[in-house]
Amino acid sequence: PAPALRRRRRRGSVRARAGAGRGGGRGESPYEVLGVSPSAAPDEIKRAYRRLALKFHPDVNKEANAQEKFLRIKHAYNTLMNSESRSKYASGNTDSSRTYGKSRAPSADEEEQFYGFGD
Amino acid sequence: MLRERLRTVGVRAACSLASSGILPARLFFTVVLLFLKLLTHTALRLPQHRLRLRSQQSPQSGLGESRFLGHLLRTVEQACRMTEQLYTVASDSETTGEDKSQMSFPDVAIGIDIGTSNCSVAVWTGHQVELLKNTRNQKGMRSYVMFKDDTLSAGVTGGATQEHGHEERDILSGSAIFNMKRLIGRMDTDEVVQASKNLPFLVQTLGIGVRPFIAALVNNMWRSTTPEEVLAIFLLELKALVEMHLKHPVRNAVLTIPVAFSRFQQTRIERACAMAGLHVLRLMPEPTSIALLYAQQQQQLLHDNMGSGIEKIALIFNMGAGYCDAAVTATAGGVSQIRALSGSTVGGEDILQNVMHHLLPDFDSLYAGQTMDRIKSIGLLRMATQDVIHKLATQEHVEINVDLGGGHKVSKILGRGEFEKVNQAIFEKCEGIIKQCLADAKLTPEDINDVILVGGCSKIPKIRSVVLGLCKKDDSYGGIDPLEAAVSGAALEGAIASGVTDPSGSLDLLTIQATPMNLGIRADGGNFAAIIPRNTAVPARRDMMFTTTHDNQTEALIAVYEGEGKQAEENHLLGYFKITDITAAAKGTVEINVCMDIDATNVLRVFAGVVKPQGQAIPPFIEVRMPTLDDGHGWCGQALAKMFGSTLDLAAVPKKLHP
Repeated sequence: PAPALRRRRRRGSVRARAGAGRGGGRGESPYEVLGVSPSAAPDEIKRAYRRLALKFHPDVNKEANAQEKFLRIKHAYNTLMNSESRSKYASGNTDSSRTYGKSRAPSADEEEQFYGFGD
Repeated sequence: MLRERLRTVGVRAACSLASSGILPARLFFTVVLLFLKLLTHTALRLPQHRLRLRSQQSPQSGLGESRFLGHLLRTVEQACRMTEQLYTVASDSETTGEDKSQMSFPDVAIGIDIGTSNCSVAVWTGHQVELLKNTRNQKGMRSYVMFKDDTLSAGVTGGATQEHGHEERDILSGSAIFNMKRLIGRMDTDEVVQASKNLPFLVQTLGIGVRPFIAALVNNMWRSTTPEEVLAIFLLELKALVEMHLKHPVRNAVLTIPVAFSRFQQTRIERACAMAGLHVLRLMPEPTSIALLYAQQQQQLLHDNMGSGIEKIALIFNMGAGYCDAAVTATAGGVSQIRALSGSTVGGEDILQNVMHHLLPDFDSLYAGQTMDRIKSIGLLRMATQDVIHKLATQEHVEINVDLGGGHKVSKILGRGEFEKVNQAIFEKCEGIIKQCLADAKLTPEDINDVILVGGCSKIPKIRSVVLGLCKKDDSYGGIDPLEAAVSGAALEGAIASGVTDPSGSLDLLTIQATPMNLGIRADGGNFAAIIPRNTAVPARRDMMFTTTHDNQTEALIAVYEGEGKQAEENHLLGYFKITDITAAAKGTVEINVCMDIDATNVLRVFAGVVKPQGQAIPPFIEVRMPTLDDGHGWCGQALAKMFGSTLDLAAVPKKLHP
C-alpha cells in the first residue's frame, strides 16, 4: 500500500496531558505534563519525553500551537532531569511560575521560560 | 497542459530571481515575456528563437546577468523536455506502481549535501531513501561550475569534460570555480578566504572586511562571479537532474550545512537556493542528519528484535574537504536528541595545502603572481598531492614524481609518519572538537556506545585513530556509508518535515536539534551576554533582564551576536535595533526584557521591550527576525561603537538567587 501524504499526524491520548493552552500549562506539574508518576525513574521520564516529542515536536506535528506544546514538554523534561530543580519541585514549591523565573545564569540544562509574546 | 506548466515554472523562476535580487526589475519583465514568447513557438523553432533573444539581450545587460539568463534558458529547455516526458509517462505507465507513488509526492522535500568537494542528492521514494545518479552514473558529483565562453556547466552533468580522467585537470584550469562552500558568506579578512588564494581561479582580497573578488578564466580573461551565483548554477543543474528522475517539479529541499556555519552564511545558502528556485525547508548541521539516519537504523534493529531499545549514546565525527564537525547524540525510540555540537573550519583542503607546501617549500615565493604558468603548475601539484593523500590511506609510503614545468620538479617519497607530522596541528584541532563535544554533553568516553565516522577524511588512518582513541573504542560503527550518510539523513528529514508518514513506522523518527553557538547581546561594556547558550534543545525560548547604564537614559541599543567569545566583538554580529522612549529614571532602575526565540525551522526572533517602570504610554515590544545584516559585520559593530560610544549601553541584571 502506498503511504499517504498527511499534513497532520495522528494524535494520541497524550494530547490532553500536554495541555491545550498556555494558561492551562502554568498550573500543571511537570509530572502531569509528561504523564509520569512523581516517583518515576529518569529512564521513564526520558521515555515519556521521547514519546511526546514524536507527537508534538513541530517537525512532525503541523498544528499551529505545536511549538508551544513542545516547549512545555521540553520544559517539564528539563525540570525533572535536573536533580536540583526536581528536588526543589518535590520539596513542595508548587508555585511553578515563581520557580521557573528565578534561576541563575543560564545553562543549557535549565528550563525555558514562558512569556505572553512570541507566538 | 504543457504550456500551462511551463508558464508557471517560468514566471515562478523569474519571480524568485527577482525577489532574490539577482535579476533587476527591467530584466524581470524580459524574462517573463521571454517565457510567454517561447510558448508560442513550436519545439522545433525554439532553439533559434532562444539564440536570437539572447543576442538581443546581451548588449544592455551586464555579463553576469546574460550568463545567468543563458543558463536559465538552457534549464528551461531541459524542464521543457522533462515536462514532455512527464506527459507521456502519465499516460503510458499506468502499470508501474513505483512511478505512481512518486507522482503522489510532489511536495516532499529532497535532501541535498553540498560538500566542499563532492555533492549528492537523495529523495524519499515512498519506501526508502534513494541517492540519485547523474548521467555518468555517479552518486557523488564534484562540486564546481565550469565557465566556458557563453556556457556554464556544473559538476552535476560533468560539465568540464566527457572524459572522467580529464575532469580533475579541467577543474584546475582556472576556468572552474570550486570550494564554494568554503568561500560563501565570508569576508576578505577571513583566513579561510586568504588560504583560498592558492586556488587556480582568482580570489582577490583587500583585507578590509568586504566580499572577496572571485573570477574564473574565460578566453584569457578573468570573469567575475560570486560564491552564491556559482552555487545557484550548481543547484539549478542538480534540481533539473532530480526533476528528470522524479518526473515532477521539485520545490522544497533540506540541505546539510557545517556546524561552524554562522547564521549569516546560512542566509547565503538560502539565497543561492532561492536563485535556483528551491525553497529551503531546513538547513541541518551535517552530524545531526547522520544522527537521524542512525536513529532509523536503531529502530530497524528493534523491529527485527536485534536491538534492546535502551538509550544509546553515539559520537558522530564528520570531516570533509572544508569542514569538520562532531556531535553527541542520545538515541532511543526513533528519537535522536542532540546533546552537543561542535565544529570548525578545518578539513581535507587544509591537509592538501599543508602537504603541497611540504612537497614544495618555496611554493608561495615561486608562484606569487596569477599567471597561466602558475595556474598550470599549481594544478599539477594539487592533483599529485591529492593522489598521494589518497594512497597514504592504504600505503605506508608513496612515491611522488611530478614535473611542474619551468624547471621545477618534485621527486620525493612521502611516508605516513611524515604526513602525520606535517598535519599535526589539524589532528590536534580534531581532538579539540571532540573533547569539547564530550565535555559539553557532560559525558566520558565510557558512556559512548557507538562512534560514527563519516566524510571523506574519515578514511585517513590518523583521523580514525585520533577519534577512536579519544572515545576508547577499537572500531567505528559499521552500518553507515561515510559518503552517503549526510544526504540520506537530509532526505529522511525532508520526508518527515514534509508531513509524510509511513504505515510501517519507518518514518516515526525525530532529531531534536541543539543550537551550535551561543546567542546573546552586547551588555556591560563590550561583553557578550549569552541568552540562549549553545547546545540548548530547539525549539527554544529564553529571556534575560537588562537595565540602563546612565541616569535618564531613554534609548538602548540591542546588538545581537552569535559565537563563543566572551567579548561581543569576537562574535558574529547578526543585527541590532534600538529601544526608544524609555521613561527617564535613575540608572539601574529600568527593567528591559530581551527574549530570544528559535523555532523548529531554526528561525531566530528577538523580542525586546521595557517591563519596568510600566508608565502611562508604554511603547510596544519590538520583534526582529535575525540576521538583519547583509554584509560587513565587523564594520557595523565598529561604526556603532564610534557613533554612540557607551550612551546606549545596557547592563545585565543578575537573576535573583533562590532563597
